[in-house]
Amino acid sequence: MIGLRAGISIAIAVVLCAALAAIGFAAHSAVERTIVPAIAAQAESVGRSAAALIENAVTAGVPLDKLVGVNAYLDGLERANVELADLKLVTPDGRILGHAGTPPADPDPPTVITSVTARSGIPLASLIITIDPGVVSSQVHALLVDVAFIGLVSLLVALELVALVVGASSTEALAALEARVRALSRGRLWLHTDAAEKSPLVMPIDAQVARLHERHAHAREAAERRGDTGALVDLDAIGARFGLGAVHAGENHAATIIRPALFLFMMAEELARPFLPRLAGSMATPDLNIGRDLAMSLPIVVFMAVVALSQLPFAVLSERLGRRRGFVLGAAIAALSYVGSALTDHFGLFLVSRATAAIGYALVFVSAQGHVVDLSRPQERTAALAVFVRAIMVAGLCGPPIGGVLADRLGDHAAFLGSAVLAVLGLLVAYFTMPRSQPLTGGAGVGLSDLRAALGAPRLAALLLGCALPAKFLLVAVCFYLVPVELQNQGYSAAAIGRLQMIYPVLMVIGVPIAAHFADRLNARAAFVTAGGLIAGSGTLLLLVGTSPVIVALVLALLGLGQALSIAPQSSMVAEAARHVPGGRSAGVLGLFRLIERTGNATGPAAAGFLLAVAGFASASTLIGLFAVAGALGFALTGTGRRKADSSGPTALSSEGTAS
Amino acid sequence: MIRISLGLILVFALIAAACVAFGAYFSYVTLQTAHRKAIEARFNVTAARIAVSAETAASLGITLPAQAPLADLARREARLDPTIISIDITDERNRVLFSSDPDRIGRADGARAPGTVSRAVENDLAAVIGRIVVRYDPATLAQGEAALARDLTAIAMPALIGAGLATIAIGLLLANGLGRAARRAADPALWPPAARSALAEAEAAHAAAINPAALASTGPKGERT
Amino acid sequence: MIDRRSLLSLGLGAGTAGALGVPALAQQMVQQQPYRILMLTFRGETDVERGFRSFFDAAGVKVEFMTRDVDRNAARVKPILAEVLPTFKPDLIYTYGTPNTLAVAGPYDAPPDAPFVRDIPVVFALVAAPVRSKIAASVAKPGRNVTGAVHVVPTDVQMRAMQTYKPFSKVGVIYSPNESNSLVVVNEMQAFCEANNLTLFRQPLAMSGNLPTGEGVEQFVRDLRQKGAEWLYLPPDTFLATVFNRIAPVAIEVGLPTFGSTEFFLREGDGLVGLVSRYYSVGQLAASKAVEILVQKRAPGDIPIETLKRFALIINMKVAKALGVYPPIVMLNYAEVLS
Repeated sequence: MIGLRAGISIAIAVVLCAALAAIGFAAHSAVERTIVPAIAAQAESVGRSAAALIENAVTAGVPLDKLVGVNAYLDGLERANVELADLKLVTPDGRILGHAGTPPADPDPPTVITSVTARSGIPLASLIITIDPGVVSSQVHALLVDVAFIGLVSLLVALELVALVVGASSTEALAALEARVRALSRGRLWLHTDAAEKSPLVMPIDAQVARLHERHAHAREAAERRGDTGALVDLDAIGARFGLGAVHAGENHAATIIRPALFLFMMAEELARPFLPRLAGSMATPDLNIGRDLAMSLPIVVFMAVVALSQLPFAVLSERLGRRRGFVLGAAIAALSYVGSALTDHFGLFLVSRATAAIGYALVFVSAQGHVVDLSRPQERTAALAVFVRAIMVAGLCGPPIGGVLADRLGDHAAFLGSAVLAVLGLLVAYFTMPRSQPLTGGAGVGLSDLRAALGAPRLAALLLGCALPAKFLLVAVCFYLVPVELQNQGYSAAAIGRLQMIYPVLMVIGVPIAAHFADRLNARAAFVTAGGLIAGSGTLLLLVGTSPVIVALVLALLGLGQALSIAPQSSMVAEAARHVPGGRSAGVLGLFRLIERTGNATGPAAAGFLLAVAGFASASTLIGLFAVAGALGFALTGTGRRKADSSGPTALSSEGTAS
Repeated sequence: MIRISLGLILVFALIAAACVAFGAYFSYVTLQTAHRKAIEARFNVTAARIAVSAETAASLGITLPAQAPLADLARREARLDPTIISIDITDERNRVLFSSDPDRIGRADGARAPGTVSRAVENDLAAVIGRIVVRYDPATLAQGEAALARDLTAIAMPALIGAGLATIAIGLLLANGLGRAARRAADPALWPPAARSALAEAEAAHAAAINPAALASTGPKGERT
Repeated sequence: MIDRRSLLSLGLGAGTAGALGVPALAQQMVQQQPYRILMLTFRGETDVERGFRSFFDAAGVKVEFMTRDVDRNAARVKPILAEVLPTFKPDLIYTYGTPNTLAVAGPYDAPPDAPFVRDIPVVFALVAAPVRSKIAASVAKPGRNVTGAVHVVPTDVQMRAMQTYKPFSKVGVIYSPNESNSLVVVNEMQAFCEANNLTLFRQPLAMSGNLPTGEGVEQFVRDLRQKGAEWLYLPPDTFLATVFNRIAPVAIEVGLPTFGSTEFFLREGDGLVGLVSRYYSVGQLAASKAVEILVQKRAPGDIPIETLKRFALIINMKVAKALGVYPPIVMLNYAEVLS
């Protein structure tokens, strides 16, 4: 049966889908009733202005049939107003005095007719403007996609809130009851050790099961006493089948515990994304002499660089501090930085606040990742890391639109206070939900030799260089750089490009947990990583066919799908391989992994820019895609060579894994 | 336990309602922005038309303050659209040089105010030499926004209440189911079939282990050794 | 009457704004006697003089003007000066055009004993090329008792305006070969035409000795039209202006549009279109220099000669109708239309 918590999560999802669909419908009718007429009013405005200009010329003394430059003027209007398909100046007797554009294919397109009248009131001519209904409907369509996306964001936020509530310790008793009911319904009769204090509903069940276990132990004793090995075998077989004599530790919450805190914190950073460049650009005074473009990108570059460089040292630091302390400290640093960003008007100070926010961000990221890796059992690590990845992706989806609205309503600076509030919330949630830190005092930091040893771990080098690096490289170069540049060249608006780029995170959010589940269940992480790399990389080959938005969307979808398959299994494999480092220290390896990944992040745009200039969009994307494919194949090859040597690996790994 | 369940259901209902409200509000904001853009696009087009004239003239060396015919053009354009309050042509320091409203000449209104659309006038070297500022009647915007809000709330309110109530209803059903399952779980006789058969098998095995003789004749198991 | 705000909006230079401020008013209070200005016009009272006078009114500076006209002959300057200077004792001399200015102040490299005015400040208006005509050694710092206002719109800008009104590939120009102004402009036209693959027909006026005559000017217009000229350009040529009333009717008759370099061709003749400095504004700009000299006691040699930077596109709709050559409708948004 479905538990209350899972059931209500599903119920909320379904109910919200229905409610949001209703809102979508409302939005649609609101658009049709209010916004479409506003768009049409623009054509009327253009018509009135053009008519006035012609009237003015006639009044000045230019005869109507001697008007000069009418075509050029109408051409200019047609170019400046995309929704105008055709403009025509016609005299009452049907002569065409000026014409621009081509009539739309639509059989009955909307038209706006403005009459040109002489001062005396005599009609001189009519300006007939034909509106391209396709342009209007595509504007409406884009708007509705935005509304649908808002719906998706609301749904995701709701599910995160549900997860927060479900993960809260106050529902532990409920979780305990559900665990028992679920176990019974599957015929599992094991004892449960989860609930700290037994609730009245749980106690009788436990009493029953405990009595059964007692009888089982009693029966076993009796059989043993008698030396009845047959009965013993039977009893043990039954015990194994039904969980008699076993103690169930309850579900593993490592990842789910951290999810709400991580989500809140990541949202804090993502809020700033839509307005950060604008804010930075407005803050850079001309006397800085760095140019607006650089000023806009500098805070982002600084942030990324600090995060990348912090990965390795912070991996160790967070291990020493303990995960909870690391998370809380990082969130506090970030929250203060956001307050700083909100208060300062000085570009230099703003950069500093971004850098310290990056330090906090890196520390939180590393601690949360470490928490998940530390506390998940190897066979469920991929799924746990998927939860971790998902929290970040969902925050990435939900943060920007909310941040955009905040900035719109409160101003860019004040919106940073919103980030600070979210970071503090994340901090509090982490403090109350994460287990108390158990700082490692023993081990020293990770030295270069450790890293060399790490790279010697089975397949780790191949994984890092063949899969992790190309994956991020491909994502950043194609999705975040080449596609926007190409579509912009094709004349698409930033908003339209943004909508297309959403394909990737949406597929990731949906796909990552599913892929992780199956990768764990089938114990086929390497296969998932390889397949993901191949799908994501080879998708770019489609661009050789064409570069229309539909094909670009397909490429992005394949990219999202491929990376959804590989991202969690990949992290999980790295964490596993980290156990091979002398001393069993995972921090350095994970740090190395993230550093290499982020190197792909950083080099992507530069390399893509270079390739774009040399080879053009399609070839550049395909080359990068093939690079990823080659990496994945290289990784797969190392697997075939090592399989034998590795065959004893999993058990050894598991035992080490559970020991931690 | 019941209190926890009820509390949980209530929290979930609140989450559902809050998220519908969130979705509705953000949809409203999206539509509101789109509406403002659509309205302002019209004034932008007006501003651009005047700016293009000013720029062409500027490229012929006629500086902005010398373009007296712009005042006529601004007046003409402002007359065309009743929602336009005024059209100003300002210099690069936002001082009004010409305006459809003569009282505004010489004023310096500073940068962008709400209810205005502005477009820079650039010379051939792409330096800003002035701005065309169209001030429009905010009521135009307000009317549209009110209509949008009406259309959305008409559906969003019932959806919000419905989502909350549906969540409560489903929650109560599920809680009821869970409660019943818990009560049944306390009594092995009422356990789910899987558990019952497991119990039966286990008890048979226990019985066999404790008292093999009683069951010796029933099966071959006991005689295997 | 012009108020201070619209003066500022004319943007007559930062120095002017200062001159109109507190110092001017303070000066005015202690000003016992009105300043005396001798105005030497070339062809009677024009908008330049009106602009010049209005500026003092607006600034509240009391001035007593004496106006003498040379009736298009700069040789009359000397006798006028001989008559007026001893009695009127001007504080400043205003001159219209290059010939008058040279007749009063002489070239800067004239021998020291040459009979030119050296002790009274001279402010000119409507000089097209003060350095090339040797009125001043440098525009930024004239270095002698002369400063003033330049009125000519850059030639290439005028050519572009012509192209905007009606694109052309061949253009004719009539000019006085003895006027350095005109020669400079014609050479600039030549350069523009070469750079843009256009043909320029140069038609100098007939000369009698050192002076141009208007002889055969009607035929020149017909010839240019015959050769395929699509425009007739009228340079800032002082003599050409005097025979324009003979040129314009012929140009309209043969269907040759004319483009004037100064306001004169449009306001006082039947030119079709022109991109010009407004004479009124040129006069105001010159007056602002005079105020600096008289009120602020600055040395004229330190006051830069300034080019008026605000031009106006003026269209004679009456001529456009006669020619059947109308401006593009968009041009009416920024052109001043005379009907």
